[in-house]
Amino acid sequence: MNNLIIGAYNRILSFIEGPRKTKAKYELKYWKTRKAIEGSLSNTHFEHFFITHFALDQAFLNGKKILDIGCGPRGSLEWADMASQRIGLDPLANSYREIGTGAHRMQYVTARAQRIPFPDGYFDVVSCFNSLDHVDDLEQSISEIIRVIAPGGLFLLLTDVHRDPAYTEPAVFSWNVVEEFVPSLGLVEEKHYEKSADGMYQSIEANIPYDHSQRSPR
Amino acid sequence: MERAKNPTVSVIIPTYNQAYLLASILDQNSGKLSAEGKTL
Repeated sequence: MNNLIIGAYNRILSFIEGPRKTKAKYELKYWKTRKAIEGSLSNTHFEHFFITHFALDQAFLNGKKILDIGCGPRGSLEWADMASQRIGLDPLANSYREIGTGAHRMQYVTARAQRIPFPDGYFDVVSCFNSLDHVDDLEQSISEIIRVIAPGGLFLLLTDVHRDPAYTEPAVFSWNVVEEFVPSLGLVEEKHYEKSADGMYQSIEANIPYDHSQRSPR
Repeated sequence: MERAKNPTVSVIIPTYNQAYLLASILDQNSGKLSAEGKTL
């Protein structure tokens, strides 16, 4: 019953404010809550996923330009001291200043993935960690991600699939989301995981490969 | 582009002057397996 009431409230709010404003409100509320719980927002896992999970050589990033799409307010690229530019892109980047992003050793740019305000091929490495399902226009966002990666560059994607749409995560897609990037990008590695913990990062770190031969409903 | 620590992909030589994709994807539905008592 509570879910029905909350759902109806959200639909009314979205109708009055517009879906983008409602989405922004919930995103910001989420991060303020996280900060209240954590004290300060931790960001050590980002280096782990860039360097250990995706097996990048630290030296490979020397002097490179890195863009993190949908970066959130954690300071996702603070670890990347070796980069020449480290930019976090998020439509709420301005709002995140009130939860401390101004102190981070990285640059924030307020923009949506569907319209990235940088020239073609500007970035050597682009990441999208747990944010692709947050975009409003998936097709246009993928087109923009491909556009801003330099030849010989790298796109790192961490995402979940088969999630029910939500106000903050409206984009819904399946395993074949990777096909949307290929052949514009050369696929080097694609790994599928079973959910085994509450968080996306925790489940991926648990490293339980998805068993596609098991066809029973999950 | 050189990658460290991954024994299966150590060196990737750009051939077509294109960019590359590495993807790790989590199925959000499979958590229901454990909820149903199945072994993950």
